[in-house]
Parts: sequence; structure tokens; C-alpha cells
Amino acid sequence: MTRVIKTDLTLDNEQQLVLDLQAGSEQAFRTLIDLYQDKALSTCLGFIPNKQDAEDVVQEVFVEVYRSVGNFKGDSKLSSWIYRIAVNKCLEAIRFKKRKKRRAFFQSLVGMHENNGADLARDFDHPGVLLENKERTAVLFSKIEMLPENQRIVFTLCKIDDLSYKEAAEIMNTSVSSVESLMFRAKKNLQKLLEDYYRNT
Amino acid sequence: MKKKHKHIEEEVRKTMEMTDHIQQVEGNPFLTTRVLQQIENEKAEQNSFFGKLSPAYKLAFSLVLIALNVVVFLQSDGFSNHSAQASDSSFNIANEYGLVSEDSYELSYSYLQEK
Repeated sequence: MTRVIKTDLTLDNEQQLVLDLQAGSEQAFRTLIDLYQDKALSTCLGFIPNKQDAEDVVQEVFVEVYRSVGNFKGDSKLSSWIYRIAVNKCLEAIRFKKRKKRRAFFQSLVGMHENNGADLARDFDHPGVLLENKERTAVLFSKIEMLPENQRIVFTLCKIDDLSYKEAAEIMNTSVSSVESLMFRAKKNLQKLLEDYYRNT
Repeated sequence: MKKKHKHIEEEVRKTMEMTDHIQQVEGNPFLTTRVLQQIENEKAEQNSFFGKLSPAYKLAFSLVLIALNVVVFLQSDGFSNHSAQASDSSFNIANEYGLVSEDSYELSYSYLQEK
């Protein structure tokens, strides 16, 4: 996986950027978006593998950053804070989508809506996935979606988004050993889910 | 059976490896504009009279408006009666001062009779 990080701010630069943001500087906000939008999009695509939907969530992420930057105390790195907002926004969007699907399912029961089970294949539109890998990656994402929430977050951040366990621990406000343990269980569960899937197809 | 199991293991391994083939994606060049636009829209909404109110006040304000509408609707019959009375008294005053011609009096009288 090729991961290009545009630039990492030094601590002094980051502090200055935060101060400028808290003072309401539009230029600082533009700089922030420029620095972090690729990272935020990459994270969002890990949770929501659809370009349009992920971009909408990224937009919400930066609006939230703008609203909440006044409360940013600097206890964690700015990037970790933005990742945390991105993860929360993605989970919110997923929950909303699940509620919508559940409604569609009940509608299909009463014949109001036809659900042919091809939702994932239709929705899967990750621009970072090559066409020949699309089908297999869509299967993988559909199984990641079935993992418990914490395992899913760790797997997505560390395996899809390629963050270190330390970074994931900082984003999730937990210890590195917890992240390792969650990752181990996530891989096990994922293998089991995939085995079941390939056994039945 | 063993062959099938091996095949499944191979498929699982290949699928798990897909995480290594996801490429970095470039962000939307219009994102900054979109975000700033959304922030501006939200600010404009907050600066409007209704936007400045807290949710509880918004609800209370809406309920008062609904109540006022209901009261006006229920009184609408009384309002039309009141209009008819007002119209009659205007006619009487006009009549007292000789501002009403015979024809119009007859017309008005016949109108009242029809009623």
C-alpha cells in the first residue's frame, strides 16, 4: 500500500496553527484542510468505501473541527484529534445507513421496496481499489462491517489506513496492548467470517 | 474435502491481503470551498431570529403560533358576524346623513331580505 503523507507539522507549527484556528483565521483553516483532507478521506473510505459518501463525511469532519477547535486543549496531537472526529462521524453515518437499510428491509417485507441483496456491490466505490480487486475487496469490507465496533475501528485504522498501533491507541484513547488484543481478535473473527463466506459460495 | 478446505484457506488469504493493495486517494479540490460554504450557511441560519432561539424556545414559539392560529380559526365565524354588523352600522350612519340614495337603499334592503 502506498501511503503518501503530504507533511507532518512540527510541534511548534501545530501549536501555532491551533492558536490561529482558535483566533478564527480563515487562512489557518484552509491550511488545516489542505494538510489533513487526504488523511481524513483515507480514514473515511476505510469505514465507508464509497467516494461520494466518504467525501460528504469528510466535509462534516472539517465543519466539526471548525466548530470545536475552541475546545481543543492540546492533550493529544492535532492529527489524532481530527482522526477521532473522523472515526466518530463515520460511525454516525454507518448507524444512520443501517437504520435506513432496516427500514428498507421492513418495507421489502410488506412489498413496498425490493431488496435484492446487491446493496454492497452497488455501493462499493473505493477509488483506491483497482478494478480487478474490486469484487474481492468488496467482500472483505462487507465482512469488516460485521465485526464488533472496537475491532472494526482498530482493523480499519491499522490495516486499511496503515496507522501504527500507537497512533490507533491515541485516537481510541486506549493502551497499545488493548489495540494489539483487539487487532488479534479482529483478524481471527474476520478469517472465520471469510471462511464461512467461501464455504457457502 | 481436504482440497476444498485448502481452496477456502487460499481464498481467505488472498482476500485478507487486499488491504495491502488499497492505494492512497487524493481529496476533493473543492472541499475547502464546500466546507466554508456550509459554515457560512450555518452562521447565517444562527444569526436569523429563529436560529438564535434555543430549541426549547423554538418549540414554545411554534406552539404559541399554532395556538394563535387555532384561536383565529375558531373565531372566524364571530369575525364574519362582526363584519356584517359593522357593515350595517356603516349603512345606518350613511343613511342618517343622507348619503344613501333610494336605489342603493332598495338594493341593500333587498339584499338583507334575501339573507
